[in-house]
Amino acid sequence: MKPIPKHLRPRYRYIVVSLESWSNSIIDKTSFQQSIWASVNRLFGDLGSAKSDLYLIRFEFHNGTGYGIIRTRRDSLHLARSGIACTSSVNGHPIGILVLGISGTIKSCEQKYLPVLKKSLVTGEVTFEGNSYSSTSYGELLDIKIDNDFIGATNMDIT
Amino acid sequence: MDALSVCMFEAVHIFPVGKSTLSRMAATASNYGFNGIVTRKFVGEHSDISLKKISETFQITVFSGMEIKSEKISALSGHINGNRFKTPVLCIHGGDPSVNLFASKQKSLDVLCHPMDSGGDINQVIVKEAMRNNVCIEINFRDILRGSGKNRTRSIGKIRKQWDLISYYGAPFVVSSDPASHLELRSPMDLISIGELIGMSAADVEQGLLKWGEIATHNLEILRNERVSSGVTRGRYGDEK
Repeated sequence: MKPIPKHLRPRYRYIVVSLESWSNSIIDKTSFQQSIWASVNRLFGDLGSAKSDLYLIRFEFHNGTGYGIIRTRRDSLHLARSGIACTSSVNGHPIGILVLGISGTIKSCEQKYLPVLKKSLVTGEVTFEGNSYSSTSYGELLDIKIDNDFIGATNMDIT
Repeated sequence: MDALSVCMFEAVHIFPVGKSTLSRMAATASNYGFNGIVTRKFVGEHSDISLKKISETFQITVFSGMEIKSEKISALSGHINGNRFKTPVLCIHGGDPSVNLFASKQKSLDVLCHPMDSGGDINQVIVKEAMRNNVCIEINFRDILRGSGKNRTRSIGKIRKQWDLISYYGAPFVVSSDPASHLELRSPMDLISIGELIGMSAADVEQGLLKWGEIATHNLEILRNERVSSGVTRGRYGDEK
């Protein structure tokens, strides 16, 4: 089949998002893609989903942080942005999403906006509110495990 | 205008109500582009948490607000009188129409939070009273961001109605995503995109985020006894020559 002429091809924008979750969360590319599709579908319906045409180009997630590059149609950027903001969990893991930047090409996205991911986590015991709990830390940030649930803290909160 | 009052603020729940401590919230909010946060739980001067240290470490302004929740109006009245001079941002958790109406009539109250919660509703009477008494009504994006199903549909409808009334009468308002953990925070630009879905302009959402800082700055001047009356503050007159 002959390729579509350049002036008729769809114009895209690439959104770089930084992802954050609890340190034990395991999130893969497929589940994140499905979550953002579901989120946009719930908010705007089938028509909005088709208009925004979200597609996850790159994805990396380990040790509770990650990033993704999401492609969307240029004229539906506002739909994509609010749909992505409404993604609150993936695979049952709560997720924090921050749009780092929007670009016209994948190359410029990678050059300008890609975040540095956590290399390794340090596990150990901390004293929080007078009790001892297991924790996972990276830099000054801590995830403290209390009764199968996590509390987000920093080094300032522990003794 | 004070330099602080042009900053975007978010009102947050902190541990033990929320799942993140104040310092973690401050770290994430600073990363997300907020200039300050207001806690919905009071952090006193004698607490273990040092607001000043957190502010300096994460380069973000932190105010200790207070959100009062009670279904009894007589109890609320006592709480307002007892806590007004402790905190720069005093809020009431609304929801019940009688609580919403009561809160809108309180001159010493700053914000009526969650007016649409648990079957709550507002009307033109509440909005006009809030405007007369300078009580801000909170526009809460929690259900749009994290809700689902029919509850979310209803909530979006209610927020639209709330915004129609507020914008028609020009009542003061604040905007918040009501985060209970650092993972629930969303950046100001994301909140603007959500606000546009319910008919708010980008400037409106921005104004709602700025308002938290304006309230806190204004009240802090009163608490420090720097403000004598409207437009009159203590200090040197004019520049020193």
